[in-house]
Amino acid sequence: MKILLVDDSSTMRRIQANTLNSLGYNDLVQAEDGADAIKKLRENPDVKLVLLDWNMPNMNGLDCLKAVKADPSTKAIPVMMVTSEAEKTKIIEAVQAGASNYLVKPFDADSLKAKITALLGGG
Amino acid sequence: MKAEHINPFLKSTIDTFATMLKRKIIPGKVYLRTVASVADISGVIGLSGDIRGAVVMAYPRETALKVVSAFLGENVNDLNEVVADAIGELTNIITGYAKKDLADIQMSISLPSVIRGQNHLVDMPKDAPVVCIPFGGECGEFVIEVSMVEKDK
Repeated sequence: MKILLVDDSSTMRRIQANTLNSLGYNDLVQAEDGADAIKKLRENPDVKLVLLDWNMPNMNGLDCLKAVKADPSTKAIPVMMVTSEAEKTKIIEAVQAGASNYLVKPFDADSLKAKITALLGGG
Repeated sequence: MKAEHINPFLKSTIDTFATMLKRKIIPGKVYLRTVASVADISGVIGLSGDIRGAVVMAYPRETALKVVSAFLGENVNDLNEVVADAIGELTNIITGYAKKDLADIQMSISLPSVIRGQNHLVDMPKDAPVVCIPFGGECGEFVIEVSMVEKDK
């Protein structure tokens, strides 16, 4: 099952990849901003889940989320925001734009695992 | 800058280290900066909106290596680009989390910048006090410096 990790921080992508690997998900694609994520989704139509940061250069996570949900070929892919934007208004904004789940940084590995498992139906 | 504006940074740092690094850190006595903290690597974030200012997380080399090793879950031995990215992201997470508890301030935070260099200093705006929060504990000592000034002052 292919998963796209989108974060301008290689550290966060690394931490998320380690967690996903521990759950048995090894088919990972990485993007460093929203624009790169759109490109990677076009190149990888078999992506089944997107983990998406909010604050990134070029195209931020919210704009990327809106673009993914506006495209008939990608709108069914669940997107989980993984972000330091913790205010309720931001969470509501993301959910209204189509986010399937929302994880606020800082998070522990167990929280990330639980949310990914829930979204992918038990791995 | 009000005292209640410092507590969110204190809490955010302790919580982030406990949650993502599984490390206990101990805050020291908060003080007003008279001279810049000497560091080997610093994460810097600009603040804008109702206020302007900056947050600097200043680490000596050995502390930074321990912090990033715990953050990544793998040992790092050099202040390389991996460590720089991790220090930037940690600064971003801590500032973003503190922002949640600063609801009375309309504030945006910049993307993080990282400064590397032995015994460097980070200048802050001269017209605003800089509050320093020192930390110690399992990872060693480091300092968070916070400067916030209302825009119309």
